[in-house]
Amino acid sequence: MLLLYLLRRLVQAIPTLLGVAILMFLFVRALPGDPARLYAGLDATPAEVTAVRERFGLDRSLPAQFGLYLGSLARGELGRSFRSDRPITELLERHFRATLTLSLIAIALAMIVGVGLGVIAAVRRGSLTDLGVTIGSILGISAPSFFVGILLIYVFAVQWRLFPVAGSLTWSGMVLPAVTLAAGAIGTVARFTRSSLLEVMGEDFVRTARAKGIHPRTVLRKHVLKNALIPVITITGLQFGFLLSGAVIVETVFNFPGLGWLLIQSIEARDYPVIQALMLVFSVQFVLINLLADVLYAAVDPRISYG
Amino acid sequence: MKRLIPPILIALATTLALGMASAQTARVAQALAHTSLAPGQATGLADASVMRTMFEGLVGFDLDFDVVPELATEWTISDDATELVFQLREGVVFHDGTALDAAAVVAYLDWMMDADNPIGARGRGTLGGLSEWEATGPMELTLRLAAPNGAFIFNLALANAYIASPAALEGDVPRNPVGTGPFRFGEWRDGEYVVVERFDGYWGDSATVDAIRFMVVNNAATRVAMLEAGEIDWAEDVPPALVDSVDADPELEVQVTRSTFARTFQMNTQRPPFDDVRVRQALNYAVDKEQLALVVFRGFATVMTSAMPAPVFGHTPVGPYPYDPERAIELLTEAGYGPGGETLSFGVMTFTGSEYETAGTVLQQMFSDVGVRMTLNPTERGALVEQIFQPLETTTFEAGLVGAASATGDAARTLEISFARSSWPPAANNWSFFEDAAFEDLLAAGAATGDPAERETIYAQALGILHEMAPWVFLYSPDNIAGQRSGVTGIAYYPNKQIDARRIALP
Repeated sequence: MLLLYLLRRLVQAIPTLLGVAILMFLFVRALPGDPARLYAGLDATPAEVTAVRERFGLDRSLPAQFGLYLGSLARGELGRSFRSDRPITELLERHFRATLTLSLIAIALAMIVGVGLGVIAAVRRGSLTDLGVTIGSILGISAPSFFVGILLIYVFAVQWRLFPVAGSLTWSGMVLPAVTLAAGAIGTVARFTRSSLLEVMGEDFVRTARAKGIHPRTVLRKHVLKNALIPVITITGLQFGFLLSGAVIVETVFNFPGLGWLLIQSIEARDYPVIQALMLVFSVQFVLINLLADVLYAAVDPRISYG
Repeated sequence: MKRLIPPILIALATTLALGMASAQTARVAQALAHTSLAPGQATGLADASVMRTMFEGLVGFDLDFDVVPELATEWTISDDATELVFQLREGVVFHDGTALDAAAVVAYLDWMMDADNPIGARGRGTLGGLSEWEATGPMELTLRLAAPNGAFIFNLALANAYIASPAALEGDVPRNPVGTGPFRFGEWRDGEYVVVERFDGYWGDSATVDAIRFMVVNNAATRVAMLEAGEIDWAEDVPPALVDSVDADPELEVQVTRSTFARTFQMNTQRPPFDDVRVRQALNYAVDKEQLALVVFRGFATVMTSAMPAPVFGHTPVGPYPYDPERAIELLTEAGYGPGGETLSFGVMTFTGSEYETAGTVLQQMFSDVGVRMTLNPTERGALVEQIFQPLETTTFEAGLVGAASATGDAARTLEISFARSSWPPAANNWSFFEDAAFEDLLAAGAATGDPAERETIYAQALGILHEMAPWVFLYSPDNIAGQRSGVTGIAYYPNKQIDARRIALP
């Protein structure tokens, strides 16, 4: 049943993605700015600009270009980058791996730290600790990531030299970008954990368990957490989607070679094929994440079923 | 057995430590990503800077942008500037072992100059006018030009004219650079870094470091933070606003040098109100350039004394226009603007970003002091480039606050690309649609001779005409600013912002 549902949802996504492909094709070409001129340089001779335009296939008519684009998509090819002349699949693979790794670490951080803080705040409800966690969470959610990033760079990389400024696919190189990326998610998860925990702690079965004389810590672990964490998992899944696509700024600040970083570079160079491919990837991500969220909702609430 | 282990460990650790200490890698941060390392194809400064460590030209530049011998030890230029004869350096080998001789250079040029070779397009643009290349001896190369060009020797010093091994022209040429320079190609991770390694067979003084890692770091603040954290040895393009924070760090220093870049206010000389030379001169008098440079670049800019920055060959000071608002008002009144006439008002196109927008705002103020109303239209780079390349018939261009650069370091191309009739958009960068018969004659005369002294006299006259006719408000030339760890030597910008890192040495 679930399999059939997933299959149907995936088939339904095809027209959406096709629409995105068409829109993006038109959109990048509607952007003012001639890629051939930008690539050849302002001081290039007209002959050089023409040569570049021919090489990129930009001398062809718009419908012809679109036909070629769709044709290669149907064959599963994304073409080559204007700027670097590399196959786009190769670029995507490398940069996607970077962004995915970073997001996975960030989400793990968000889960561990966020749930931990949320539990502490809920248990010590009304205390100074609770207030501190609340303030910290709100700061984490609302501080823009370029600010958090630069702050972390200044303290941990420039002053204390614990971690490198420039992000990279090494353990030490991922700490600062991952923490920056996770800051908002930690806040959200902590807030969510706290309120969900408090809600469950007021339930009758918790009171009963306590009345039976079970140690409060055991009650918390066995009865409260188990029930309270289900919605937290859902919200974390959704956060993951935001992390994957929200890494653009973090990646620029830390010079971390992920998808967002690639997108910025490609837009500046008007690298049409790469922009198109990235937009497709982002769209696929969103479709998948939405699907995942729907499945997770159903898992949490048995009343929802895959119709 | 047990007692043997510690000595072995110590020996191992020592070897490792020594190995690490002796394998010295210099780390250089660049602002832009690399596109190609084939001299005939590469377009950007990022490419040219990396290629500089691996390649040599027949001739090259020194840091003052004067032409110096590289693969050729000496050369002669015929009086009519159509034939150049080079004596090649003995004992030079390419990184692949191919020996450098006249036949090798000819073979490389055969490949690059072939009109059907897409990887040579940029090189053919640089060497435009080259019609014949011939080995007139085992180590003698003769180049012939279709038309006289006294500045051709400058083109030969540019990165796009570097000579690559004729044995490495198949396969992925842009990613397999083989030259004669002190470093050979190591590794390239697209968009991230390029590593070059010392070439032990180099004919000249061997490089002092084992390798150089050219890293791409787009964000200027990140580059400075990496310097402060000791992650890099040299960073290009430090914005004036960040100079103080580099200066404040005792372990760092800034490197400030003159550039061949200019910032100018360009006026469409074919359309009112700027078809009147008095209006153009008036605006030149109305601008306090020193003040502007101080506000926009914190003083890291030099007021232009001619239409070209000072490091360009052929520059002679003919200006600047003094700051004289009263003279400006006088000229404007003569042209029919101001009290009793209409208010001079127009729109100016400029790039987005703090430098241009700040300059625009200050200019607006200075112009309003003489009764001129200017509207500022900041436009994203790609969009602006598209608009200023429109031909006269369709252009909406009134005035632009833009940059200009000398690609070659010589007056011939620098003046031609910005002021010749043949360079009107869309052909090239004469965005002010300037046209002047006497100036065109001087350009032709300058190209027709190879004699440096004669050329300087000719271009001085040409610059005089430009000063008088004032198609631009001549502003300033921003300095090239780099940051480095104190004690790093042997790396610097050429005035055109190409990095020469061949002699880099770490403290």
